[in-house]
Amino acid sequence: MDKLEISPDLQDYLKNQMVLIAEPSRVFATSISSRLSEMGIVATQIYTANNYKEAERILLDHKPQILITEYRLGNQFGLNLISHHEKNHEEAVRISMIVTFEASDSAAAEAAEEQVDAFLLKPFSPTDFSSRIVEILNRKINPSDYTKKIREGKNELYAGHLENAVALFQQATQLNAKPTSAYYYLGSCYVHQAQLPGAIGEFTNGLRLQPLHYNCLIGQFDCLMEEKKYADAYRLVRVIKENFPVTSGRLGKFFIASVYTGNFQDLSDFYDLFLTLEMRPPELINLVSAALLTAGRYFIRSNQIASSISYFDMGSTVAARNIEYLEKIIDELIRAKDYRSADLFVRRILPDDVGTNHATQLKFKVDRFVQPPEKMIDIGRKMIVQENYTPEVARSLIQLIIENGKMALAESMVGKVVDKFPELRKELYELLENSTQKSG
Amino acid sequence: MRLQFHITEIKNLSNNLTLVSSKNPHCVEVVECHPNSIVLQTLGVVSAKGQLLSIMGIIDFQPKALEFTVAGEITEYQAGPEKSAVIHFRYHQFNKVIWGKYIGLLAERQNRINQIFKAVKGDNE
Repeated sequence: MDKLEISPDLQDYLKNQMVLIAEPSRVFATSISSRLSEMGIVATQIYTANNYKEAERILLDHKPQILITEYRLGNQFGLNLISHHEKNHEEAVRISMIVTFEASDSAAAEAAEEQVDAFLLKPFSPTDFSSRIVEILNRKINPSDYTKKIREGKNELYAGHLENAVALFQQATQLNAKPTSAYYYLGSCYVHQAQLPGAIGEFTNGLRLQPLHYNCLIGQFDCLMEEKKYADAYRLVRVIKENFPVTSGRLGKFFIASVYTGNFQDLSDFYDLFLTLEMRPPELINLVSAALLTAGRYFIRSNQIASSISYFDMGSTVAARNIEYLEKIIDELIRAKDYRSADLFVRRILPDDVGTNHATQLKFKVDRFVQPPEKMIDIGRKMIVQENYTPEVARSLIQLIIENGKMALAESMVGKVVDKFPELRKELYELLENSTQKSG
Repeated sequence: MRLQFHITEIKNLSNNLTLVSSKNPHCVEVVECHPNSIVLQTLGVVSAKGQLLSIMGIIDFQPKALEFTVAGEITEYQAGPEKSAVIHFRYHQFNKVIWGKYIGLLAERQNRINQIFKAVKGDNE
């Protein structure tokens, strides 16, 4: 086995470090632990956790300086541990590393955005692992003047001393040929003061030096979104999407910008990105499903039914065929008089929901337009008797009964309905009266 | 994208005994992959230096998976705590094309991740 030479200075440094390995695989946890021991970390200072909860507890109780975590810890994400780790130690003295089989671009970008120092894919060689740790340590222990200044500025920024932070970042701009990060943090100082035009100015300075500087692009995008300048923000969406993997947080904003600028045609590309994400937080799922519903509605109003069905289809998948979501789609399709498609979405109701009152009512709404009236009147009557109906179902049934000239039955049904929903009295009796006048 | 070598069976070639089968696949994990060898971490698997083994497994190239079988020898055996062991296994007979492709993809994948990291972190790495 190749062994990496570690300088005595680094060995001394490592002796005082405490480590948490958050790793569900006992085998990998043992392997990582042995590598760290070989590097000089005292075995009793290495903690292991095979689940998120335990890892979180160790982080809080022991505050280790080094965190090595799997990307996925059961249903949780190792990335979420990073924020706890950040609170415990300053950037200069903490190390965080993701060690994982997950090799998606978005997972790596997500980690890079989150102050993670390295992302190592399994299986790895001990040399890869040790050299990565040494490389990070060297960077942390022997930073350049520029990095030192940025760190000082960040400490001031996070402590809320914005004037000091600005001064330090301005000094940093003099210490590097392309000080894009210094401009990024200057922009962040303005963001903290809610001075978004000033922030955009600093991000632009950074982008002048490096047109594809990720943080400046993202900073500018976020400010434009905050200022509701969706068209300008949307121009950046294209640049970011073409040059960088999209993270889950960012993708949500892409959906918003796309909807606000009416760029519905791009939503299917974003949907494909959504499907590739390793991490899909519930807020993102809600946002994406809402955006796809809006797109479907837009295409219905533009008379592009095939496109609308396609977006509704994506939306219902994202919403995991949630019955309330399906109802919104079905209502839209009924309004558009596309009963056949509405019926297709009724068939998407999950087996667990089929037979529930809600599903029966939804089915009635659609069947009322596609099944023979006699059959639907019969089904509707049973629903009224069993009190399994909504005002909407009642209206629809009574309308259907009147259309079929069964006035006595209509009157009897109205009587039953107003017992349950007295607020419908005026509306339903007017309906009866109007139809009697017409037939009279 | 996951790119993984899952071991499904390990047999001792000297006595044809099965050391790892589909019933206990979790007792072995591939921790390192090299051009002509692998390092395995095992739990509760009885083996020793010099033993000749045949290892069968599946390399998950996603979306395709290929079967991979190799015969070779344990060149190093380090017993660890709780019946665990680190085994260095040198290949004698194996499909060099499939294994070479796997090793190449592993390196390619890590390089790509490094590039993404560099692009996102910029001068603030």
